[in-house]
Amino acid sequence: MQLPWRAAPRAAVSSPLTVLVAFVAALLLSFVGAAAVLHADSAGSAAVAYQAGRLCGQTVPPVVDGNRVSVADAGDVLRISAEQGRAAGFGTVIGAVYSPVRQWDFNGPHPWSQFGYRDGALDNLRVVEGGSRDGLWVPRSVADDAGIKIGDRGLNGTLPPVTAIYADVSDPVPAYWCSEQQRIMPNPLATEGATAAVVWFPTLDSFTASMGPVSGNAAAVSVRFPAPTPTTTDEAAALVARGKTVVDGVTSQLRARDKARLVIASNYFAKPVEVAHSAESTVLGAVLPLTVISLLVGLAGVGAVTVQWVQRRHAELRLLWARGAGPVALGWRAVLELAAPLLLGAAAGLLAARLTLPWYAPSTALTDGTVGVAALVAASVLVAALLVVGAVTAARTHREFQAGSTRRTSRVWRFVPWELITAGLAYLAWARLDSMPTKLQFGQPLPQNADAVGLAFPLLVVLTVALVTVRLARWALTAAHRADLWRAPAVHLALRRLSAAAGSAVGILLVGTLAVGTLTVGVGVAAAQSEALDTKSGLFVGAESTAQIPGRVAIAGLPPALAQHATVVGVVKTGQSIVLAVDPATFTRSAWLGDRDPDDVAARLSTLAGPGVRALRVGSTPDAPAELPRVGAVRPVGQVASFPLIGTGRGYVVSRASLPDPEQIDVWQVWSSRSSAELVADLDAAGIHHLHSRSKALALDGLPFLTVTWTFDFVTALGMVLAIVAAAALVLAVEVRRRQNALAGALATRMGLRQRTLVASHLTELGALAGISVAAGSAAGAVCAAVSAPMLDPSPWLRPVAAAPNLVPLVSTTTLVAAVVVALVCWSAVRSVTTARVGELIRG
Amino acid sequence: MAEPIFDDQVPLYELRDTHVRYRTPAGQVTAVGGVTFDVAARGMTVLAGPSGSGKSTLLRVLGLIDRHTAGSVAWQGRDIGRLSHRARRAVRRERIAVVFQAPPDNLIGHLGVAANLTAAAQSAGLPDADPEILDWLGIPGTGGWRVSALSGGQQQRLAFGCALARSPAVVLADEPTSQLDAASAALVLDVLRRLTERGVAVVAASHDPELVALGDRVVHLREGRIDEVAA
Repeated sequence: MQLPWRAAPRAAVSSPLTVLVAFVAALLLSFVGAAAVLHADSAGSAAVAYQAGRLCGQTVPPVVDGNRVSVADAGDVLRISAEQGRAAGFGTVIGAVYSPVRQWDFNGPHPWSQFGYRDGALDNLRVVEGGSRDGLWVPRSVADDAGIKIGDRGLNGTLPPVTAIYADVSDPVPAYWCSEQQRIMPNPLATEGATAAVVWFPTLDSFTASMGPVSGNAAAVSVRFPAPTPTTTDEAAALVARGKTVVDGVTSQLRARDKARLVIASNYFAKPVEVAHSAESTVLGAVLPLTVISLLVGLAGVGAVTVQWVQRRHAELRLLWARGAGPVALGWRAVLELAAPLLLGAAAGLLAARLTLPWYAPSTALTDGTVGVAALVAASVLVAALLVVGAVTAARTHREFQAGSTRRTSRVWRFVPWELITAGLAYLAWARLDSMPTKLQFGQPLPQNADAVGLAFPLLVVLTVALVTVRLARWALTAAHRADLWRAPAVHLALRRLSAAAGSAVGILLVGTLAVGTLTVGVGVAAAQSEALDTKSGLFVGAESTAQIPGRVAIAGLPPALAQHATVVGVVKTGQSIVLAVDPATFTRSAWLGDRDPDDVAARLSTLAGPGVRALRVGSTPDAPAELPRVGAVRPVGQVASFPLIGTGRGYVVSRASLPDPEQIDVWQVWSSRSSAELVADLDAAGIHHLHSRSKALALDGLPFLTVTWTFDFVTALGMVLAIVAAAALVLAVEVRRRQNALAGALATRMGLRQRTLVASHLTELGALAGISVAAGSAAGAVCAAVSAPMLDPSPWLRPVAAAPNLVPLVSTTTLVAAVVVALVCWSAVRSVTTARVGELIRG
Repeated sequence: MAEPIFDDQVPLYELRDTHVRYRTPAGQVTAVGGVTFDVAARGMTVLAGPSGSGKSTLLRVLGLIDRHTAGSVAWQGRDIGRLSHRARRAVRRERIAVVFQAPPDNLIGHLGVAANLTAAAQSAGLPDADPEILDWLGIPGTGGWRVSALSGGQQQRLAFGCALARSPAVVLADEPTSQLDAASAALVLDVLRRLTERGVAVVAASHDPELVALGDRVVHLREGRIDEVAA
């Protein structure tokens, strides 16, 4: 290799600005490419975590359940399941077997109870009395009801003695018990004998010996294979694969013994894993268009850096060409000089994408090899950037030295109607969104994922608006050659400078509008979906948490500790509507009101006091007195558009105090502003039986909302990157023309141009670019967010439909930041004029 | 067998009714309007004339940098108008050295003095430059210097040293003394004279009378046409 090529890497240090710009361009390029990969994988991990979080941890791995089996068969199921589980790598297998619920004899008393054995059960109970592990452990509720004491022996003395009394397991149950909750927790509101707390045997053998002869074929068996909760899609897929091995093994073994019908072996997490994979690919597909656009913008930036480099190295390139070097060799020369900053930039971008993952991605858990894929993408982007450097240099030197042409082929691209192309694509995305909406069907257990093409609609609209803005700006700047605005010298000078640098001006406009537009639409749609999920969940549940309680407790009133954060609500569901009987005094501080003013709600509820049953009608409920089942005659005295639990559907809200017969109410619930765990703890502490506890956080399957939110969170991140690029381009545009501007400005001020006019001209020039970018981008982003948010709502059946939030604070912040950037760049430009030494500038 | 690339019995260049026209925003401009002359393989040919007479344009055509638009230009008997880009590069690489008007344009700024000579030699396929060149140029001991440490005259002499390091058949020099003071110009002229003494053909475009006086043949140009050819 000849010396100029060998020395090229060291030559880079002679132009630090070019090195810096190349470094930053590669950093942003690599960041965008790598972050897209990491973000999509992170979305898969977040989807896995979200779905695993909604399930009991013990049902994420495979489960084996059987009812109506003999104790002997249950033993076989336990043994086979344990063998298969261990063979599939499940180190711990928890088997359980239960007797039927009966009024078992305890030497006199016959409490409803059941007997059971579960591996490790005694380690997960809180002993109230006794505690020896060689006898039966009786729940306190059973012991209290039947007067059972330590040492008692049931079934005519055939059972082991009672050696411990333990505190009943309550809802929400500890993780160890979560899969057994329905079986081991008595339901005081259910039919007598349907459920009962469990009297635990210390060993499986003792259970088998005692219960085998008396259980008949009415025993139940469950086997769990606890495993660490998977954090990534790969881990989840591996767990599901192992689970399938267990399910297949257990089924085939039992089938060989003709006992396959006894149990159901299931792999519940298989579908969530599919959904997580789907969410991952949806997010990737949705962010891909903007990622590609951002990469193209970045590569265009690398091209601009190269053009500047060619200008800077023009003499050397001409010399080498005159000595016989061809365009390809000169392109290679450019690559060798700019490779180091580009390589370092790409590495820094990859590192930044990995380190800032918590800031822009929904999860920090990544599938093995994802960072490798991101590195591969970053490397590909680097190669693309190097190709751009080589190709641009080769093309420029060929055109200038070899072809001897001054004609710019780039002008041809101006005549391509890009905005029409993107508008067409936006229309296709709109049609897709309209015809294949991303809607979750009511009652469907698993969500359909958002459609990637549909999700691209807002971005394509923003891109179209940016391109239209650029087209109009270019026409305006071309026409500005004829404009004579010397009566406003600042405007005239600004216009002349913009016209003279029309290429960079429209480039900044394109990137700036795209940046502000994507930021606005990203924040708008992501916030709309988050708020929609929160609002729908709140309306769906009614409060942060709820639980069903016995009517007598509700009618008597809550104890003071609970009343601080909870209220009692009676619920009557008829075919057409829901009637809520509320306590106006405590309702507003306990129910979920969203962004409603609690005082307003309290004022409306206060109208319910008075003679008869006064009602607030909800939604489109007729404004006429009505006869309601279990409530009687009600007289509407007001109307609200929506109400917790009723939503925007039909219904009435009445005062609990006005009910003629509260005992007629179907269901009484306690609504709390605190979490489900806190509510349950307080109910338990107050000795109030409860069931059907619900939490706003888990009320709805939020994955479809989250998929949209994650997608537009990344759009926001890309918008921020583009905004940085736009700001850097503004700085560079001024820096590149620094000498020229300094000379012109310095001469003009010496000819009488006032300093404030000079400042005003720069403010006008830079402010016009920033102002148009902010105005066009914000308008496009806000309109797109408003239009797209309802269409991207995954569950429009649950009102209210997602709507764009108030974007004024965001637009204000964007405007403020743009103003600061303009002020700083303006200061730099004016300073270069005021400090210029004209003599040196003229001498060149 | 490959065609020989250089034969000193044949004129270096044969120009016959050669035209060079440019397209400009104002229309077509004729820089060279039909010139006919030969450039011998030995000695110095000077293209003389006032600014705008077409001498620099003609020099770029001879350097295979620009293309003529009509007529013919032959290099060693071969019509260069028919040469491909690759073939033109090969001729430039192996047989032609160009010295531009501005001294810094002839040197690679980020390389040192000796490295510039090496780079020039390597560009012609030679392993390195003759170590005596700096002495020959009258700037001994500057091999380790940065180019920017040399004066304008020294830089221009180094440019001719680089040309010499490439062992060319012809050195094309465009106004080589126009940016130098009288003393530096004299030193450059001395270098040019000694180049011709070493058997290297030199074609220089200049309106410097002292340089014109050095020419074995002087082609006087005016408005793109030959005014006079003097021996």
